[in-house]
Amino acid sequence: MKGAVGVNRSVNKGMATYMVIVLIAFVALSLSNVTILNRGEMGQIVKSEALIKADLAARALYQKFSWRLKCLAFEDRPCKNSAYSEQFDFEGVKCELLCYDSEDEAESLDIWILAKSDDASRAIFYRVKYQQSLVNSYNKITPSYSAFYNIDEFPSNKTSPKTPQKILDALKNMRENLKNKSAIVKSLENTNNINQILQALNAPADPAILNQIPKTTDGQQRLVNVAPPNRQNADLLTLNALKKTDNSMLLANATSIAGNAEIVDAPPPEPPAGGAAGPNQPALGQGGGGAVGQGGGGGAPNKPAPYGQRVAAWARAGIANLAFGVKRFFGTATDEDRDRANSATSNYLAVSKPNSFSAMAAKKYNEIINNNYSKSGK
Amino acid sequence: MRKYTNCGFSTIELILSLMIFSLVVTGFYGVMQLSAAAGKSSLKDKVELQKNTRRAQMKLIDEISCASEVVKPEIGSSAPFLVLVDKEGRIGVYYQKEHVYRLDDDKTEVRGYKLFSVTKNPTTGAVSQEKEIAGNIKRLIFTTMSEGSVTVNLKLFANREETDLVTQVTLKNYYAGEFIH
Repeated sequence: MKGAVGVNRSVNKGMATYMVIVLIAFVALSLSNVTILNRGEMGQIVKSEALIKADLAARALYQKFSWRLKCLAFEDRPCKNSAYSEQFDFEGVKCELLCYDSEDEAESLDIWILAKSDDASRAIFYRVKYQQSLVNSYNKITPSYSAFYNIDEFPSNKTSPKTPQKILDALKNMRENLKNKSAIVKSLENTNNINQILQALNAPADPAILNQIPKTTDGQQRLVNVAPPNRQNADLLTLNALKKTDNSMLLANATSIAGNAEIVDAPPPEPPAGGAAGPNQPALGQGGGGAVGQGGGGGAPNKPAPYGQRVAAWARAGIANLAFGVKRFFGTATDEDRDRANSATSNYLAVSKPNSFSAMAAKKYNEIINNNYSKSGK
Repeated sequence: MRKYTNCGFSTIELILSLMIFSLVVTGFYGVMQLSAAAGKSSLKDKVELQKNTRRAQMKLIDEISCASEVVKPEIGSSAPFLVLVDKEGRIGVYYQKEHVYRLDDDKTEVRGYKLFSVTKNPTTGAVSQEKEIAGNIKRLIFTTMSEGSVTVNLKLFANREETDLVTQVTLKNYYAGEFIH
């Protein structure tokens, strides 16, 4: 009898163990499925954001350095006797700058900027020229050539660096081509038909090439503004009126390309509604509600933050609210805990997708705990 | 004498309950696999589309930003093509050709476009081969906002998923021609 009861107990334990094992295996399989499905997406988004960050940091560093060059005479340039090299850290992006005199042009500097952000890196080469200006306090530093290159082409010799021959050849070709392009470009001025343009260039024209903007059935014409946005308007006026001779034009342009995210990333403001037009007309149309701008991070207002940022904010809000709730349960909650939980919740709501389930749940939970806390008077 | 209590499970009951439980779990797992597979194909399309969109975006930015001058469309105009003078002073033309895409189900055909480019060297007169830049385009419009910037309005698709992108590109080499006389 004792033996029979003992057998029954061990069988029941065995079944419970079996059920627990099966349940754990089931949950593990579900989690691994979801993880595998999402892994590629996260990696790809992280990589492209790192690349855009590196690009922005490199451009900002160029602007910072060119300002420095503007304030120094050519004889006082930092790379006068030997190549100048410096390292910077912009918001987690490690940048390296290398500047030296150009070997094939007078009063000209070659600048390399290498920016490394997480796994992504960008190497940009600039050739800048010094020009005398009417306003003698500042030089006129203008990039006459800039291009992205592989990070392997960044000169390894920092004391006497040499510009790679292929870049020197490209610069030589550029000078030749820019002298000769005017005649061809002038011949294209009188036509807006792509096939005629290609024929003028002696390139093979094909009737299948798209010449008109296709109409879509989704009702969004996504056409041009009547006039460029105000910021560009100001630049345009400045550029046209003060072209080639005035530093203020350079200042305006430098401001606009110095990683100023509001200009580069934001889509143009909504123009007045109107009909569609062909490619040649300054057209009226509904502006595009776009997503990503050149900087990659900004975009249309109220766009939710990247997935990683939302998850991090959600985790912080969850932990802060949970800690506040538990402390409230044990009666040890303080005003600091409440403020911490409220601030974490509002940070999450600022980056979450509007009207999402998790945002509403976080808000509701935070409200309940706050009410509970204030009612208890503690 | 010890009283014998009728508690516990008999072997047959245990075996039967284990069998039923295994059937339930297998059925549940099968349903989960089906829904994961359905979600996976849609998610796979989304991931593929995001990847292609970012690749197309970076490629366009790299090519257009290195240019020194936009020839067509004129300032304030839009066009489905772009003519510019690139960083090496060559004249580049970006244009679209219609292409019929077949979706994964092999039955549905969708009309889309592909973006190509050719360049002409004004010194030697040589014209390069046509090069494909991007595909799976639903709609692509270039708008010249000012002398030194172009907005690219791009709509890509992959199977039944679509994504929109508006990118403003500033020309880095805008002043390149300034020193050429």
